[in-house]
Amino acid sequence: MKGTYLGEFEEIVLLTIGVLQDEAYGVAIKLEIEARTKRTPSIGALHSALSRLEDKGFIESHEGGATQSRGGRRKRFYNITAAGKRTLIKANELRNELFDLIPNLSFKGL
Amino acid sequence: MKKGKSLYPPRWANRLLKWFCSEEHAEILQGDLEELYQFRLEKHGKWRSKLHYIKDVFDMMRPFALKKKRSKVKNNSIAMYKNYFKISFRNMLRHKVFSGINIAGLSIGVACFLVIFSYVHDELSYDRYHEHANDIYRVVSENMNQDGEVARVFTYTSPMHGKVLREDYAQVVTSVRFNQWNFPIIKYGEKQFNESFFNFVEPTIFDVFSFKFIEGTPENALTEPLTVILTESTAKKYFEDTPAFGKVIQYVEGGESRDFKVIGVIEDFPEHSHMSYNFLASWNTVDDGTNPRAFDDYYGNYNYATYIRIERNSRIDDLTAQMPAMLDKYIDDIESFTPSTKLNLRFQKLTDIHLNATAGAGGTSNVYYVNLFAVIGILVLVIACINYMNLATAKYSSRLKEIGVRKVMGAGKRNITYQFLTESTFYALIALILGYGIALLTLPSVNGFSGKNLSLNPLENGVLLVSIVGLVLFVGLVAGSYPAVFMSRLNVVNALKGGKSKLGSKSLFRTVLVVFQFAVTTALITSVVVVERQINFLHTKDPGFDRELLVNYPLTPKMYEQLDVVKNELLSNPNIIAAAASTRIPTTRLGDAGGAKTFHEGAGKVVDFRLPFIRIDEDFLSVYDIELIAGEGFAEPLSDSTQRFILNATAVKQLGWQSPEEAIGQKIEYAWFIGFVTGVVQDFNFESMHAAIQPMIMMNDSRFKRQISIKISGSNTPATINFMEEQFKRYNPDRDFSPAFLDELFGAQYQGEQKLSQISKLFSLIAIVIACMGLLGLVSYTMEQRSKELSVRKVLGASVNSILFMVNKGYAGMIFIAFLISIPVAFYFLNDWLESFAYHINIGVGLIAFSGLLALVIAVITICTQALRAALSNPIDSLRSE
Repeated sequence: MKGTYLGEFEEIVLLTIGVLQDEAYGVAIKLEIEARTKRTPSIGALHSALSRLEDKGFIESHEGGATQSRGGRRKRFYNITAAGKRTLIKANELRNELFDLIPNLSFKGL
Repeated sequence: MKKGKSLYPPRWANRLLKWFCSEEHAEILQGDLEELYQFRLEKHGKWRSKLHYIKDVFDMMRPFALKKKRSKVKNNSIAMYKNYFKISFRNMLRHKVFSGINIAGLSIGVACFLVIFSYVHDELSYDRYHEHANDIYRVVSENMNQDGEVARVFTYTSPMHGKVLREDYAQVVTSVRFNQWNFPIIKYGEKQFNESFFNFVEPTIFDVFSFKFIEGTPENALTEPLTVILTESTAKKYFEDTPAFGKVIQYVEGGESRDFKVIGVIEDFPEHSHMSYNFLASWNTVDDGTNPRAFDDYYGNYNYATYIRIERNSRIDDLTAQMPAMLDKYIDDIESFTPSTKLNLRFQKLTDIHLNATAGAGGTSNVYYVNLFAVIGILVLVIACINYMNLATAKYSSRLKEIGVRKVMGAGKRNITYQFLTESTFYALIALILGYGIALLTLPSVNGFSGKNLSLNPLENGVLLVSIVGLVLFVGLVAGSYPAVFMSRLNVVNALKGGKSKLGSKSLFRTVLVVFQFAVTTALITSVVVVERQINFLHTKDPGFDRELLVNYPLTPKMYEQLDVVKNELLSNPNIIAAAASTRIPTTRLGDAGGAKTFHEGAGKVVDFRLPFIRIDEDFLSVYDIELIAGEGFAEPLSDSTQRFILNATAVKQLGWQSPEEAIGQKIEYAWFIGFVTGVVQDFNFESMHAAIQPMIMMNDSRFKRQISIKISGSNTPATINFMEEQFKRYNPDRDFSPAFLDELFGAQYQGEQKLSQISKLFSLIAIVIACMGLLGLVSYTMEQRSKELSVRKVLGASVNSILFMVNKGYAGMIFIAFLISIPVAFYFLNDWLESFAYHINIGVGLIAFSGLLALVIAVITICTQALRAALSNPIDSLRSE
């Protein structure tokens, strides 16, 4: 039922999952976002976004890979689904399209 | 990890996460948090990481992570509740004895509570009908003794106080003074009545109190001299149905008469008022500057009731704090003492007056009794609730299968809890209907007994309506709480197997309940015994004077003029032994007088304690059989210039004389009298035995004495009384003859205690009955459970006695613990009550042992009625089936 609108932070999370491929789980995504965007999302906000993305059907998850540093607890890994991929591409296209429409003049002014 | 395994994130934060987080997310989130924690640990160290961890946990409180409601299926709760009611009803019918005991106990508890509630509510509603009720205070004067302690409290002040208070203090909006004249005759045409009070009040009364005018208006009322306002019923008495306004009534006292014009009629003082006056006359009548009773600037003459109204939202304490300074300013030093060390003023809130009557004031009830009844009402209700808890959990085995099936079918703890709460509320509802009926039935007798006009109509009394609804919920929830928790915890498998679950018949909680019930019961029994004995003690204690076969009635001035003739006429009747005139009679208050002085070797010394007086004639001491211990009584009336005084032994001691003999011949100046002590009498309790014997002084002058006391022989009393009445009517054809027997007056002084005794007996009885019903139910259940065991014992040769002993032994411990708990509690409260009497019994070991034994006997009898049935039954009956 949820809309398929992709928020800005959600888009970043989705892209990061794509970047990390098979290693995309909570902490890894957070650290990757921190490293690349210089912003520090709280782990709560991140999981909240992941949960929303999953509800929208853009990602899917599976569990596995317990490590000692997690107190022996499992990780939840995320993959982008086909729908997620489509949305990403669409968002990217839309952005490029709009970007191209900006007259060069306005850049000169900046 | 480098820093070792000891560095874990805070455990409580983990627990918190687990608590609010759904299981689906908990593990993953916890894993992520911990990984981050370990990651930060290396970078930032322990403390920062921990703080960060905690912050993260709280940050996790987001909708996605929270626990979802367990069942997404919507229950049809109405159908379920229907089922709960149906099952409750069926169970009620199936276990008639249990439900009977339960409902009876609850109904009686509810009835008691309702009656007590309406009584207490009524007691608390006094004097609240005035518009400014919360800002009105009565001025109270206090006398201090040498140690600076309050020795005596009066609800009257001197006339100066009311005036100064309103003139000097901005906080006081206004004040009103009452000057009460007692026992006048009021005439209108042919009609004439003896009235008890005639009040002169200031016109400011209408700024302080709120009255509803039927005739006339409060504007400018009572500003003219010789005007009067009547209450509705008084106006009716004199003028019947004709308008009273403008009519003139005649005031007669001691041969003088004055005419008062009626300028208004107000509604009668409501029942809920601490004062009730029928005549409000204008203050100017007495305050015309020439009248000797007008003492605006006089600090003595403490005969004026004064009320003040203060500014809304101002603190009365601020005013009280200024009183010593005011007294010092206006009153000259009293024999080199600053006035504020001798007397003080304080203020009593109007709405507190009824409940906290100070000595000598008109209040009839006492906050002590109101509190006591409130406590008893709640206790009875709680005992009834405990009964329900005990019985409902005791018979849990009959519900085991039902609960098991319900659980198997998917009922959760919560559903079972709701079910049993519904059931108890159902019982509470039935109990309310029955209890309300019982309360309605008993209300007339309660009204007759308390002299009140209580009503249990919830439509008239919003508070009652709310409390009834609250009562059902309270009883339902409290009584149902334990059974509900207990039942919902039962293990499904055990419940279905029907085997003994671990929550067996001996639960600690239930033991505590039984102990509590018995503690209350024992305490109530103790208090009944103590109150009973104290009242007996008061009735049999010798007050120091003869009170048997003594008749009193008021004399009139006409009779007093020929007192000797009157007495001789009376004594001509062989059944009349002696007669004496006096201003007051024992059991009433002694007269307060102004200052007194004693003279030691010429130097005058002011008596700095209250030395009240009574004027008597020469026969008084012999009529009352009061013993002279030194000197002599009054041989004959003396001249008024020099008096002979008779003191009591306490007065002699307080005045500083070593022995009664030493007092004889000492010079005393008392009010306007000067004289010598000629006699000393043994102490006797003139006023009441609530207070210790006070010093008093007696004198005999020729002025009017209001009372005559007559000692009769006791044979043919009605004829003797008739004889007195005939004589009285000969002198006063218009007056009513109203004789009183002194022993009745004496008994009436302890009416409050008498009533307390009756009420406490009644409620204790009820509480004991309810507690016994609970025990009865519990024992009968236990006997049923143990019937096989008892049968086996019998088969193996146990005697009936040994079985009874064994059963009783199980409860003896509980009763003993209850006894131990109740003693100090009962002792504390009863001692407190006893302290209010100057003469009281002491609570001794014997008394405690007696009431403990009584409680034990009651318990054993209750237990035995059930145990005996089990012990006498044929073992075959219970052993036959397996």
